[in-house]
Amino acid sequence: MQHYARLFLSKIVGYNILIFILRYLLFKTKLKNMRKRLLMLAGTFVLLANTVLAQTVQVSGKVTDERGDAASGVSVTEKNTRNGTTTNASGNFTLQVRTNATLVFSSIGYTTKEVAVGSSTTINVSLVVSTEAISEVVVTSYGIKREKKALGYAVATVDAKSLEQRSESDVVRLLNGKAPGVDILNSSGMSGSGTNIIIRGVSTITGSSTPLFIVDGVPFDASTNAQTSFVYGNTTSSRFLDLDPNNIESISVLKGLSATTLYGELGRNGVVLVTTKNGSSRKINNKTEVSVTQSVFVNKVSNLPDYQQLYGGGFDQSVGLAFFSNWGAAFTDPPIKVTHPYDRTALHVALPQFNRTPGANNDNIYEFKPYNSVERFFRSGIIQNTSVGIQSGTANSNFNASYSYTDDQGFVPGNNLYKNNFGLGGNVKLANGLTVGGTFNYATTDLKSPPTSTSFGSNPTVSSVYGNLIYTPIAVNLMGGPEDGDNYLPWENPLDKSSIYYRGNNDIQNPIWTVNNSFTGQKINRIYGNVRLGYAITSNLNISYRIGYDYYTDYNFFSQNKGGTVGADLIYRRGIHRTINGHNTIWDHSVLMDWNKKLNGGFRVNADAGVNSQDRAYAQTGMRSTQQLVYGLFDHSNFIISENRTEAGGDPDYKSRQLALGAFAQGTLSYNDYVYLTLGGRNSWTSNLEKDNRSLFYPSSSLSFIPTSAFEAFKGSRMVNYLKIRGGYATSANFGSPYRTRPVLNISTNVFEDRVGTVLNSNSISNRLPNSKLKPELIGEIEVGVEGKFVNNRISLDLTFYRRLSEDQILDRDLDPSSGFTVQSINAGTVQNKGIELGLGGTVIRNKDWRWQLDANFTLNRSKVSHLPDDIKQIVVDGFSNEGLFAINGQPLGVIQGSYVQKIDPKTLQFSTEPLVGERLVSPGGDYVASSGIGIIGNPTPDFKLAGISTLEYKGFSFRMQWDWTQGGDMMAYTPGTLVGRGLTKDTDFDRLLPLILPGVQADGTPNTVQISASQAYFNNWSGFFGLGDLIVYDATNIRLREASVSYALPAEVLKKTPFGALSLTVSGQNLWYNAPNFPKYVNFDPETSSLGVSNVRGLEYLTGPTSRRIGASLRVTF
Amino acid sequence: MKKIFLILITTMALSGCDKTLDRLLVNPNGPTPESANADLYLTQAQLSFAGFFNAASDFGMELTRMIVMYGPRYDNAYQPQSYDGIWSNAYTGVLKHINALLPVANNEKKFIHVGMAKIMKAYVLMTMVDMFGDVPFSEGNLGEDNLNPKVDPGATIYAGAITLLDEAIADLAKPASSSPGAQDLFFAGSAARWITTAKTLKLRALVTTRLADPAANTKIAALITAGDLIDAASKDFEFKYSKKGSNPNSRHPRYNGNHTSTGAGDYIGTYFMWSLAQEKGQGDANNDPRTRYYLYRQRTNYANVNENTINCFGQAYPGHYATGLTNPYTGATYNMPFCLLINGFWGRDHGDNSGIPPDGQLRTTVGVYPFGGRFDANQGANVSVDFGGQGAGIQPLWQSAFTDFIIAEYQLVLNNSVANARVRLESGIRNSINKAINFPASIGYSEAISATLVPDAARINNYVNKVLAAYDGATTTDARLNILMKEYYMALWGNGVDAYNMYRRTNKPEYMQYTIENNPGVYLNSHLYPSVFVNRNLNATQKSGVGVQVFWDKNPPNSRR
Repeated sequence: MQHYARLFLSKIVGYNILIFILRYLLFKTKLKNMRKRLLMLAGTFVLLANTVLAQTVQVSGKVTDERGDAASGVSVTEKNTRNGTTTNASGNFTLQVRTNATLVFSSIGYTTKEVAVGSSTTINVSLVVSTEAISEVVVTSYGIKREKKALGYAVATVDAKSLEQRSESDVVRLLNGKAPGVDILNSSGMSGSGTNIIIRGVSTITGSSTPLFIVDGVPFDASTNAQTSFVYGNTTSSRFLDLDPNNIESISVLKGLSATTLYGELGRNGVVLVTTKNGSSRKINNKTEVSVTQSVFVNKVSNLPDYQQLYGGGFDQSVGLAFFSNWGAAFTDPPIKVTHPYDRTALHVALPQFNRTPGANNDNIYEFKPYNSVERFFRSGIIQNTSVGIQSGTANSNFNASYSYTDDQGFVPGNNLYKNNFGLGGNVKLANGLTVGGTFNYATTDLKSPPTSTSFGSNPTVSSVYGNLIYTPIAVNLMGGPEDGDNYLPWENPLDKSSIYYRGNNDIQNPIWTVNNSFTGQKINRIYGNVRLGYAITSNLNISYRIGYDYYTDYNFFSQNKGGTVGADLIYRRGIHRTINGHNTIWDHSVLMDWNKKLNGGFRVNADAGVNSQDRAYAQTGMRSTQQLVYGLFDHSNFIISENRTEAGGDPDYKSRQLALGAFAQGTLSYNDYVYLTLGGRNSWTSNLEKDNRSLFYPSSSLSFIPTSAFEAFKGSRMVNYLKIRGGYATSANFGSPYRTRPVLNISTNVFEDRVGTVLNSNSISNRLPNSKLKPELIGEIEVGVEGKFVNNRISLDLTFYRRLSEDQILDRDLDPSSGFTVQSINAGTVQNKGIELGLGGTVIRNKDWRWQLDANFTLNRSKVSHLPDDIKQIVVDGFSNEGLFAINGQPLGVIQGSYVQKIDPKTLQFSTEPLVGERLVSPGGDYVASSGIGIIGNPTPDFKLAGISTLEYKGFSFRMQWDWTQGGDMMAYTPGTLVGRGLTKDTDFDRLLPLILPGVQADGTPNTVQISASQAYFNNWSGFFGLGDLIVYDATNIRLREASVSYALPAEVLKKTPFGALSLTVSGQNLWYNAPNFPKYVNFDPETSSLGVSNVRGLEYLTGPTSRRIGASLRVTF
Repeated sequence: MKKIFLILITTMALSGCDKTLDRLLVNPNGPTPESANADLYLTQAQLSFAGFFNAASDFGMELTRMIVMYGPRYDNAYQPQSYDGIWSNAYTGVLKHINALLPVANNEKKFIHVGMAKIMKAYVLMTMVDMFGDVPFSEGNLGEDNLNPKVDPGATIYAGAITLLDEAIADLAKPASSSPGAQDLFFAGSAARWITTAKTLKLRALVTTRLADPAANTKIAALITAGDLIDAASKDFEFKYSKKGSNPNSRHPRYNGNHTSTGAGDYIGTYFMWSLAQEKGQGDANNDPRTRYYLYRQRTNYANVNENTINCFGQAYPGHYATGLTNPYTGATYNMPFCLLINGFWGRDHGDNSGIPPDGQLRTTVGVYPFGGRFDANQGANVSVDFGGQGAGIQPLWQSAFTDFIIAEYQLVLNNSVANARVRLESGIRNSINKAINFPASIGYSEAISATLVPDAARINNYVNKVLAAYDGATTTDARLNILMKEYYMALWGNGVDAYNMYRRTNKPEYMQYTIENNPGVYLNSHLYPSVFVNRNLNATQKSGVGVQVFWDKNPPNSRR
């Protein structure tokens, strides 16, 4: 172990200190003279050589509650110092303190108790339930710990219990519904696919809205390095996937700017503070605890459409097996037989069994009947996780190590995620007062998935596993085997292994061929962690230095064997192998000073000041090879052509570096522990903008007032135990992306080769017009809130209102190409976000054996775009320019615009200016008329989100459920459009012989009377193909049982005689049930996906595929 | 004290950082604009120019039934965003790089570069007017100085383009410091060829705008007298693609789109195929001698025809189609062609927007001329990626035959000389046929072409005589013009730009196939403005409809369909 740790570490210059500490800790039991060794270690720090060591004593004891039960997690601190610990599960603690010190015992819901140490080294304490102030300590910016009551802003905390032993290995997905104000959306149901996390709405139109991730006090890259646009698929993972949920002690979400000012522009989208078990300072005194968790889950498709079984492929009742659409003839019993789809010249040699003599009906051998293909395509994936954690500590040091392995099989064949996470961490407090700590983590993530490029419900432009699967015509036996005889449709040509399928010209790539031959994926190798030094200069002045590092390589590939049938022949069909290697580095340094002093008259000052530098560099290189030589081998040398291009044609070589520097200070003045005024600010300097605009100061202020402490009337009240009123105003900024201020020339080599072999190169002027005057985007936010505990602490409330204004948006303005350019970054426009966050908790039952806790998290956010100048009519936030999500003055950010059914006023016969107002116009042919332009046809922002969590505990049993309700929010969805428009689901199993008349009016204003066939009505109008976008926009309201679990922990008495410290078994499931009532009933559509992948906006769905349902069990043992 | 010290150190450190911050402003992913090079700009401009022509030609071929327009009506056949690509390519692909090239090349006295650039610029400007009418010109391409360019009248832009052509002729006459040589993908750096091209394009511009120019007659006469026009195949103005299929793909884009392992992408218009294979007679002896060069049939019969493979199969003949017409070449009575023709010619009717059946390997597709596809020797085989001429086609921007036809038009309509027009008509047909016949050899076509399938002099004469007889049999200028323009139309295969201009200028040929829908609305007299223009430019207003005519189109707006 030590050897390997060294091997990892020694490669990194500057980590000798950490190695030293780890070595020391590992062999501490062998040390005879600890004190001497400690001094030797301390001596290595020249800086602090003359420090005087104080006289200390070790105290230990047990903390119990009113009933005499062990009280765990109680904070035990040495008064007026930062020295402290918490009690373990048995209520015990050990702490090294100065002689004559006073210990302070505090815990949520209990009255804080102070006990002088005196001569006794054993101190047992019984806490009584508090009727007033609660002094929970939370971690804020830069690891600064503060009493929660002192904070003028909201902080949401999620503990390990809500994160570990879950089937989902993406930490952020586990946060869904657990923190108000945090909006999480999966990009797809594929294992390892990216995840959107947005805090308090999107405040930038074209910038990034991913929050800052801080792991153990230092920045952690959370980007999603998609190498191609969403059109080519979105299974690129988000880099917080590299965290191991089982190794997380807690996550705090700093939502507002008041909370994140010290992080400056980096914290503008909120900050997710992750404390890993390795980075935890929780101490386990003189004890070693090993915990092992083993989980097994089954991963299945959450729901598939209910396909009708009455009609087969074709159009207008024809027997058209070769059609994409399913408007063909009704099935008969016995089935009629048709020419086998593979009875075609191109396959006569390869598959002679299907070659029948034409005519006389002896070539009709394939049965035209339902085959249930789609549901048989999916599999039950198995998810396994093994996690081992070791925690060990002495009075002044602790050491943690962890290892975790995850094997997550997707429900689609070919989709697998493997993760390895190694972690080491430790803290030691040296006798000279210096504290040294650090973490070291190594993570590997290996993701493989078939491609999932977008499809409009017709052939996708490039390979896509879902693109042609979901609407497989009922009479196509996709999943059959040789045992089906004449009904068998092999998926590959046995001679050359190329894809074959039911259409005569073989223009659909067989989905089975795709999963067996086409692969996308990412391999991540990541090292991250930190080293920190702290020193108390005086009893009330501390200084600390922290260096954080985060380095990963991201090997991203798309590989497909020759023999495919979609995409350009010479790029896709003859085999492609595109690889890109990305390297991401973050170096972060921060120095922080902390000072606190009690003043006269009940005042107290607590001040922090620091400097920080964050250097982020990303570089990637890549190659695309095409025209595979030998089938099956993906190696650039096995391809005829190698080019410096991605499959989309772009340049895969790219590098960027951004440096952010900051100096910050923050001070809190408190009066009698019931009024806290905090003032702070940061000055930031960035490398993204020209000198005149690169420096910016952001102030912040907040106030916290606790009436229950201030007024006598509340003292002893059992109804109002605690009440806090808070408010704050703070600012931040966004400095945009790098390289937007200066012009650059594009160079392209090998752009054309003429008939005699002359190779031509070119240079071109970028279509991005530089803007040297670009300024930072300014963000200001006001938030007010109330926190309280009522009725004997049984009801808790945390309510926040906020309003965030983001002005001078740095946005990519699309230019009319006739100006010579197509895009420019400019400062314009305002985005306002207003919202309500509510956390409500109630303890319904609380007695010796039973406990039933109900919690609700409510999130509401309204955004509005304004002040876009007149020459910017609209901005495409994402999607396509004729069908996408836009920023438009007076509208919420990201409204859906697309073409729609033309509406007219039947009286004036004028076209409506509002896309959704008026009578639908029907053409003489009987179909709806598509609008010639685009208009607003939906608003994807949900009205609100509400999560309800119920936790019922009885002795060792615990039953937990989480229900999520998303109300409103529109979605333009091609899956329901395709399934209904192509006549596949039970929504269309009516009598298709009856003609239909579309409701609407003709051009002369009279009601439409044109009869059309069912095929025509549905296919031409509801399939999404013909520019009638509003017909496939649905209200995405959905309700969901996101999680349910039952766990049982063996009682301590039973475990006493065993070597185990704890043993628990949990059976749980995720995404167990959902209902989205406003989609066509039998499509069973789950709107919790986004074809755009990780994006600021949502609401477009292009056959992204079903979501995942996971059920399984997990066993956790500690010893 | 300690605090002050810390603040001091921080301040010093940060001021030292300014240099680092400055350095990070420079994009490391490309060189600075100062390192730009005239040759490299020229390549960018030429490739963009070829792409521009291809896109413009595409629209024109669809509107003149050469390839299918899905329609079903003229007002919904194309959405404004259909033009985003060509609009962007014109301004940010061709014009921007030409504008950037001109000062660099002038400075280095690379006057052939300058002349080439101005000619391409003039061509693009004229074509933009032909397609859209009034477009940004004087306020265009100014970058930061004008992000919302207003449009100029089409006539002003045409005048500007002719000025550019005159300037180019003068520039090309100057001694140049170097020739672009192989960088010139049209004429390998020949100033003389470019001068001829500029003069011919002036002639083309004058004929195109003749309805709007009272002085067109004399101006055209002067240009014809001055000579130095594209009058031989060796002078043809064409962009040449090669057989290189990847790294980089240098093939004709229409070849690429129609030669895939799953079949062809475009449908050839039923009317155009009928004009080649049936109108003047069936079979090699009587049809158009260019048929086997222009089109390639994947099937030479209709064994695969059923309602699942071709939508019009079994459908009634459209009641609104013109019937009982008299064929001027054969004298026979005929109906407007519909759906299936003969011998496997498999296309699609004008304005047919029904679903696409699985017929990619059944459709008739583009042939060896001018797209670099395959010579149709009745192979009846599926297309594939490396097929026939392997994409070594051309963009026929201007050819000697086209010069003949527009001069013939001038002679007939403006100069009232039926005889002179007849001479040019014959010359035009022969030049066009010879171009097609000689084409395989000119691109290094590797398959043997059976001599029996190559039209001999007798066949060509037979065809020429049939046309001349029809011309001679015509009694009015309008009827003569119809014969003339039909032959121009047949020669323009691959050049939809001039086919579309010709149709709007002359309303000929008569009785091109109507749309399947009886009431297609007014003909697309000009294209709507692109969405990138209308939606992003404050000074842009979408036009009232597709019936709006460009400045040189003085025909009644409803005079064609």
